[in-house]
Amino acid sequence: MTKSNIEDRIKRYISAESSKWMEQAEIYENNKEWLDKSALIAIKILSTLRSQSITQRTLAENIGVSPQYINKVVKGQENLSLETICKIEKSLGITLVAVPAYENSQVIVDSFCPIPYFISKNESQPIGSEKSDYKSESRYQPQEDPIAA
Amino acid sequence: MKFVPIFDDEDCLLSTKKDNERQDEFSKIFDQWTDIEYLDNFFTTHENDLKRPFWEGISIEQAIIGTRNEAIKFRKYLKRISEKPPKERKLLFLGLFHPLSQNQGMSAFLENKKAYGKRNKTWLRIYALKAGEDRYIITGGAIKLTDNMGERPHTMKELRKMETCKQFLKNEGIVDEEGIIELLEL
Repeated sequence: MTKSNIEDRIKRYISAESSKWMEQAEIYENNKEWLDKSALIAIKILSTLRSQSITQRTLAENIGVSPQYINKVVKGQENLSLETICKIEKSLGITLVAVPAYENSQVIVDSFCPIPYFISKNESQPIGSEKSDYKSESRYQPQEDPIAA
Repeated sequence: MKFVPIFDDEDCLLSTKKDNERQDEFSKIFDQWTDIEYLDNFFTTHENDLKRPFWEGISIEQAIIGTRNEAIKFRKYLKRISEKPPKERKLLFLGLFHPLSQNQGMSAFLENKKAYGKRNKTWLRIYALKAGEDRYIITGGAIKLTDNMGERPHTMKELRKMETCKQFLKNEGIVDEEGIIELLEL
């Protein structure tokens, strides 16, 4: 049997349908950002279920979804809604997603001021509450340019 | 059993696909390596293997994240190969696949091959048969945590899958003993 014979014979067994591999790779690339987050959420859920000895079915019952849905979630390939995330968090007593809290001070970028300045949260007030809020010179006092002068 | 082309019709990379299964072996392993539930079950079952000094005390969670990240990197690398012209692709595959064992010799029916994942201490393996000068038939893949494939049922299964594919090629008359020797002598 020659090399070309072997090649020809193999070709006869090659299916017309191709592998789904490339499709999978493209799905990931097009949805990378949320799929990566979904995977991390799935790891956290599974590790909590294990440590608390809770089954996927019990979690599903507790939050009012089907076990099939929870199974999709723990595969790390589900685009979860905030509502579902909150229900899972409450049921398991864990945090899955955290939004950074506002800090004590805010950086104010004033288009008239070249240097950003800080105000403390206690001093902050609703925008437009004072007449001076509408005067750019109320906070920025330009120095006299010695060269121009 | 069928063979499906992975990148395109003229490709040198094929995957086996069982008649009763939805997915071919190549897609299946990448699906498993990025499926958090599958990885969680796998590393929970093989937690003792993870405790071997070679794996430096990695936790189940770290193992899951590491496997998924590596599989994604590996997939990206293979996709880049697929975008190369056929001649260059063949050379890259030649560098990717290594003999499964050093002592296969002339007695081998077809040459067993393996490809490693894309990090230094990698446990990802793709298994294939080299069926012709430039053609690789992927038979499966595994997360190999032990030194030898015979040590765990899931890696043993991969050895059997390679043998089943060889037997299929022989039974269908695609290759014969005479042909194999000729092939190995090329």
